[in-house]
Amino acid sequence: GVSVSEELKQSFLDMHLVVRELQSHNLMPALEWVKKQEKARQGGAGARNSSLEFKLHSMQFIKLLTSEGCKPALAYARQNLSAFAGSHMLEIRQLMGCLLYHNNISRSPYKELLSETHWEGIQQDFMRECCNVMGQACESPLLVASAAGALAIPTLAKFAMVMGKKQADWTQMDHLPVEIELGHAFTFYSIFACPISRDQASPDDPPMMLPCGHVLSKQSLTKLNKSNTKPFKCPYCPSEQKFGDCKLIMF
Amino acid sequence: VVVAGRKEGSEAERRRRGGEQVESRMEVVEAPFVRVPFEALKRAAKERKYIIEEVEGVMGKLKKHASSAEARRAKEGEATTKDGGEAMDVDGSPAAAATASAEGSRGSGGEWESELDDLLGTLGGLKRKLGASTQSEGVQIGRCKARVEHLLSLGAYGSERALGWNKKRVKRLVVDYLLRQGYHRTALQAVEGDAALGPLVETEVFRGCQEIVDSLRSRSVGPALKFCRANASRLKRIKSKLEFKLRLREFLTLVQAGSMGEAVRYAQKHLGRWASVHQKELQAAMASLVYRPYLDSGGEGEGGRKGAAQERYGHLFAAAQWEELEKIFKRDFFALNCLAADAELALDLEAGLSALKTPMSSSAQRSKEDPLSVEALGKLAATLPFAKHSKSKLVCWHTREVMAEPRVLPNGMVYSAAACELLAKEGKIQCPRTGDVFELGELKKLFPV
Repeated sequence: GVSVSEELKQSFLDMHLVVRELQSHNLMPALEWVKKQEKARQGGAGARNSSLEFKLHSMQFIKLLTSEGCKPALAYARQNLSAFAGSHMLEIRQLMGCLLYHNNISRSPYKELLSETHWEGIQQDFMRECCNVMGQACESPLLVASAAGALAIPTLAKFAMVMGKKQADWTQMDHLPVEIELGHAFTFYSIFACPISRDQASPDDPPMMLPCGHVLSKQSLTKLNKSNTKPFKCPYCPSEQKFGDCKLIMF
Repeated sequence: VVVAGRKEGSEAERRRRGGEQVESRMEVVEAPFVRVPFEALKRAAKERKYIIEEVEGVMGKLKKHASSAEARRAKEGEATTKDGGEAMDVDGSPAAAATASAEGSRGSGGEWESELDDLLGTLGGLKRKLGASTQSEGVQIGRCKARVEHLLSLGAYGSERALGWNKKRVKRLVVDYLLRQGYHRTALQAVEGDAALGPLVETEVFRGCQEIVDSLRSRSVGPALKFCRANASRLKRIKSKLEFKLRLREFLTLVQAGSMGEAVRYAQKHLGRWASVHQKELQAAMASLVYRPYLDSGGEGEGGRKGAAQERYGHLFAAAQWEELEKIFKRDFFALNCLAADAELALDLEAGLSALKTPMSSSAQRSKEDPLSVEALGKLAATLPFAKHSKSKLVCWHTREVMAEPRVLPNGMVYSAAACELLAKEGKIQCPRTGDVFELGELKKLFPV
């Protein structure tokens, strides 16, 4: 049995409620959430949150401009956007430009600001920020794992076909028998594979840097050093190195 | 109709194959998904063929009656033959044909009439069956179409779009899993919430399966036997042992209850025909007849015999046997309906978690984005193999971006050049992981290749 804390469930429920409001173009709950986070984070590094907050405010500005007119929009801007003058001046200038076209933004050079993609984007951004604050992954782990599986299955199926029935049970192996390229979206850690031995780095076999700047695994380095008593040569650049000068590195 | 369905399926396949090499790999992943309603459609079409054959048979008989009636009328010289002959055409009015020939043969007696009435009744029944068959075909075609459209809407399949592609699939995979495990109500709730999901999952098929599984759980073999009889020929084709096992189980239940006479009669009636095929098992079961009394507690002097009996025949009466039956039934049921033996979700997760598994997933430095850092998934992945990487994939610890130009600090920590720029303050740089401060000049370029 898997147990999920009530607190976590509630946080997710709250998040979904706000997202639903965003879907019907209501920004108020999201803005309230952001304000709550600011208060909780008082004095800490507020920089991370600012782009989401700014986006919310600018969308609210556009909304007010199209529905209620110049004055309320301008008042809103004075109240909320001035804090972002330092970081988002370019965007603020664009928003001010919109004021000129308040009657028909859809025919102005700023019509892109009205597009639906902004609303979809803001939902995604909000969910990411929320998950971040909750300490949860930004993408559902089930989604990521099954997406990786969908990419991996054809390769594994081919392997099973090629190897025949006897050796095809890859689930019992220590390491997967074939390499599966998943792409950047699935890379969460640095993986160092020594170019010489083609083995992955592990706590017993960490990457080492030679003074010339090239990197090998510790085992490959030890092997190179064993063969000669003299200082050995780096396999890449033909400069001589001493074993003692090599340093353990961490990616 | 079969041709139309096949055309749709192959056209979609062609469209898919027409894409890149990588796109055709999607077939490996999704093939069972489209096959299930397609096979159901084929079966419905076959059924329709049989019904049509029966109808033709009945029409043939009617024709015979009509022609004999004609002959009689010709003899008697009446002029209503024309109507009788015309009404012989299919589709339209078998009733009219029947009445015409009934009229024509009125002269020759009531036995023709009663036969014709029977034929009329048969035709009516066949018409109803045909209607039902057409309807079920329509449903299956609808499902095939919905699934093909769903697959096309998923878009291109490849590692760059993997997450977006999979978002639409995951819901369906989860509901399919729920259905397989028997969580029917939850699955139905999910389907009700999302209209597009309905034709993508086999709610009806699994409901039927669950009913029989429930009956097996309550130690009753009736519904399962019904299933066997209804699908006898197909079960035979896949060499299913299901019916034999069910009959054996009933026999052993009788033996366990102590009604030996009844058990023997049951065996004579039902188990006889499996004698050649499953001889060993049958022999063991028969022997249990003899040893059954020894399995009860009591009988001190029979201590030795009891031990032997328990050893060899005790397992036949264990509760685990019913679970075995359940498994066998499920396996054969899935095979008949072209369903995969395991849930697609389970396969995906197994492959995916393994492909994502690195030694760091269980260490203290694990990233919260890594699915294996979730406790439940980590547990699932515990026995799976690690992923294999023959090329380095370096990610800057600070920016989480692909490592572009690595720089190493004197303490051995490596960051990308962009990260170093971000971290630099007044010519100094502080390592985010250890807190040590260094001069910017102490950075060295790294070439991990």
